[in-house]
Amino acid sequence: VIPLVLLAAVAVAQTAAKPAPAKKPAGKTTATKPAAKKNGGKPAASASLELPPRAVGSRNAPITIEVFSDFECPACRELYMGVLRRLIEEYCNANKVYLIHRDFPLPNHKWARDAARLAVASAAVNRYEQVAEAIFENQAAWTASGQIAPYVEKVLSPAEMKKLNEQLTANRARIDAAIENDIFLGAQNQVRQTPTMIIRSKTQSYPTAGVVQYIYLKLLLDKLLSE
Amino acid sequence: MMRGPWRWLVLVGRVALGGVFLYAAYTKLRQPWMLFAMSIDSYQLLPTWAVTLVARTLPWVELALGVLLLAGFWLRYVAGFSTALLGFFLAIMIRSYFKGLTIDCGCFGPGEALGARTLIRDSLLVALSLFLTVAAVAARRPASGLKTQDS
Repeated sequence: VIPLVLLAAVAVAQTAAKPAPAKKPAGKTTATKPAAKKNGGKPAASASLELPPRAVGSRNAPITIEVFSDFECPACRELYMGVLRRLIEEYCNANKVYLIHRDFPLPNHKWARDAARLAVASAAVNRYEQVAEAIFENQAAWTASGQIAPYVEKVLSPAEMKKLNEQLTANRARIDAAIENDIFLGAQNQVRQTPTMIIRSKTQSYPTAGVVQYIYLKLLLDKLLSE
Repeated sequence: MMRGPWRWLVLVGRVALGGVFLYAAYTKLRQPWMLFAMSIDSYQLLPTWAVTLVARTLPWVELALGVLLLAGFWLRYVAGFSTALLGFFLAIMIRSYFKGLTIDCGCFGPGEALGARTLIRDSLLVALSLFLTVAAVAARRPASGLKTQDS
């Protein structure tokens, strides 16, 4: 037994020294699947990919973070207000991190999908961050009333609001497809709760679930950036 | 001294629990410690300095427990300690589950949500560890009845 134990200890120690193998970035290769089903198998780049990405920072940043969240989930609000805003300020604006927002409205949240639709439509008028922040900031109020649009109106000009409403009417199918696409990507990445972040750097991939403290995220990002 | 099927049951239990501890240590040590710190922190129990300390040391404790359980050294103490440790984990998991925290379990690396499944799994591990502790203590107890018969 002792030699076996020593062998196991050595194997574990060696593996510990190596970086974790990367999970396949499913999002990039399967992004069009849900829409493809609806289109009878035709290439479905049409629906979701024509909408502007809900992302912050440079695509060429060394680290990419995908955040799967639900606008009606209190933990997602906490993550957005306490962590993501600082992340955007300190890392995305410095082109160190590319942050991608993915909508993952949970079925038990009555207004989450409506909020996601508004947010996706706001990306089409290049005001996603402002709208997402307004939606999260006023979560308690619109969760009670079901009225999300008044809070969005506050951060958009009348012209932008008009464009957003046009998007919601004319591009409803595309907006829904974009949300379905995000849900599909979440399932592909084994997202089981919101919020979930998937941090990708080089060939490594690290999922984190729930609200995290900014201090640990910062330590992790600095470590990954220094490698 | 354990005899017959008990001896084999304890051996299987030791290997199983030792393997679980080694796997738990492996999943944590292969990732940057900050990820485990995020999981610990999500339980909202410890201050930042303690979270950091636990995140950096617990995987090595689990590794040591795994090795000692597999080797069968100091089984009473090792199994007793692992029962206490697993019992503590289970208690804080139950507390968090019933508080409605949607958090990462942190049991076997990041990305595993805390839920009924993780609670059942940890309960089974506590039961297994408790069995090993009881078996190890019973095996060391002097068989006074037999002594009387022999004398």
